[in-house]
Amino acid sequence: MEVFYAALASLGFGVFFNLRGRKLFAAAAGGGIGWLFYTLAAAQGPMMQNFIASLSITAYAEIMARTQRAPVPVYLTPALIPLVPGGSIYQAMLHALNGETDLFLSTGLLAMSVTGAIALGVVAASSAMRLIFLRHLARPSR
Amino acid sequence: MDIKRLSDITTEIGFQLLTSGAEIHRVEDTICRIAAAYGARADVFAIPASLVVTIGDGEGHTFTQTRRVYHSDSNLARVDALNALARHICARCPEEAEILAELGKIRNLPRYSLRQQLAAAALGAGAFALLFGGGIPEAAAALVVGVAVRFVATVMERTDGGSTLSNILGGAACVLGAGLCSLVWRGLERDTVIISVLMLLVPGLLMTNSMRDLIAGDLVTGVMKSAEALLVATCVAIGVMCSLAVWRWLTMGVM
Repeated sequence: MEVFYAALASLGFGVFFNLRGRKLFAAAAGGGIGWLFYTLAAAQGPMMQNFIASLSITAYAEIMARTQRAPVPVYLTPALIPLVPGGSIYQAMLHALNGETDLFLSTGLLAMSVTGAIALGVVAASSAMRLIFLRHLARPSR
Repeated sequence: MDIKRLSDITTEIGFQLLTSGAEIHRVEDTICRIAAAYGARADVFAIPASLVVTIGDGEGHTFTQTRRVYHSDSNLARVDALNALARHICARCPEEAEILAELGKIRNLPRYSLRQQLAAAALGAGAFALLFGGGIPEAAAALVVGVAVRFVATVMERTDGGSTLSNILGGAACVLGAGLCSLVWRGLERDTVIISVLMLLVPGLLMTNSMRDLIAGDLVTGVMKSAEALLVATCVAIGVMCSLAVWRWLTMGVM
């Protein structure tokens, strides 16, 4: 059920990003897939969990982009939305304004590392995809 | 195509990509590819605030254009269309008039109406409330407050109110809306509602993208985006804090 909610959240953001029709729903499905892997990896701790989820989302986005001939962000951006550590960023800022410096640092660091894990997942998966599809790229277009 | 025209067209396509929220790497790569398709050489430097394109024909003629970028948003449909156009240009080398006609069409791509955007905000905030462990009442409250927050953001955008004030007011609308909902429905998990609706404002995606830029080696872009993310987060938090204080004072600390 949570997977469905994540897909709905991605769908909402897909509209902000002005996506329409099939692409909108494909992007929303990406959000669901990401959350599925996120829950499956729940035992691995927040870093690994986010890394694995963003790996799966990027793999999905790269495959969709190549089969549908659309740029990767169309599928990637809305699908990453449910993962993003909005809650911890918010809490870190609240701690900062309350003057709770140590809590601010620990929450802020958690948010930063989760963001880093997501970004690393994206970079790792897209580089891996580039290697896999190297044959297609090597075929000269002009 | 002569080099002046090529310079105009590549710069315009790059500018459109940049203002539609495409990655820096894509902007630079697209311009270089188009120039190469017409047998010219391009050197491009792009950051979120500016675009510099130099086109040279290899016979001593060079043209440099710069564009300053003030506003950009995430319009993935436009990125998609520009990408398709760039592929077409690289494959066919079409005439200038055809490219300009296509660019005109892309500039006028339809946007969602205000009502549709409000509905999307409601959907997103409601889904986040359920995702964060809220029940039906939290989701319903997030639905309503999500619409309110998005409405504030749109009004600020149309009146050119600036993103700083817009984020402060958005954070405040979020807390006050959730507070009002908790007056109507006793026992509402107010914090769940606040965090779900804040997902519409919090710059999480901006932070992720800035990390990606940093890892990819676009250091200036990465640093700019992380500074922007920090600013947005601070503004939202200021709005939240002020309105929480006002709310506690209004309700005499009962809620």
